[in-house]
Amino acid sequence: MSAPVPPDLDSSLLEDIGWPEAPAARHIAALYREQARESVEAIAAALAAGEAGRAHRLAHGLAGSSATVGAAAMAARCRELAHGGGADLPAPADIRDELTRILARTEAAMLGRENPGATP
Amino acid sequence: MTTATLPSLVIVDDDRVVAATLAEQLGEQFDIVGFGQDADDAAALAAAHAPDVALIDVDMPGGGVRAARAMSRSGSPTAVVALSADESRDGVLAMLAAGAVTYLRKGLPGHELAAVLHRSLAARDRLGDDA
Repeated sequence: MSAPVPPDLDSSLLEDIGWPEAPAARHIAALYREQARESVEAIAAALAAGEAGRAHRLAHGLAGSSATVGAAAMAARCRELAHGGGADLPAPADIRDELTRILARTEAAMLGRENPGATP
Repeated sequence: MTTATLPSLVIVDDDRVVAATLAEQLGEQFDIVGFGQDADDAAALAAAHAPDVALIDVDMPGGGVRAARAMSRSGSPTAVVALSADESRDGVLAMLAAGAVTYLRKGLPGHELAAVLHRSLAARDRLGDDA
């Protein structure tokens, strides 16, 4: 039996701190989105430069912040990347595309809750 | 609510999202007396505040192991709790050997996190009574 696919957003962690109403929780969610976008680019850049160790450390960091806010799919993929060996490094463009897609789904889930009346 | 009777806590993690979330999760049950971003900050916070509990990121600059060792050697009664994105066996063992009382994976709900910290404090107090 295969492992269950983690959701893009397990909102219970943010809801525990008052999201989406509480300003502090909304700030954390926005900070996560900004930081995650930067991390995705940095991971791809590290891979492009052949800096596997740096890519692994960045992925580990993004795994931690993603897990903290309930971005479960991103956390799971980044844990895999963080533990990946040097021999099977993904292509930078591929990993940028994959992480960008995951992040876009996560952002959509967050923004949909924060602005339920907004048109996507 | 007064914070006078709450256990004191320092949070040392270089990730702003993680540090801010931990503060929101734990701020009602702990008196957060300081934040840091690296192992040097952890040592300075231990010396300045002798906190009851320290939440220490394993993978921050300087390393969680160095931070935990510094806190253990400072003589402060701090219960060091390690926090990481994963639970690699080597990482867990290294943090425990450096003086951490337990090891947590990032992404725990606030009530679970708080419960672990309170248990760690209780264990520290029991060990203190036995000494």
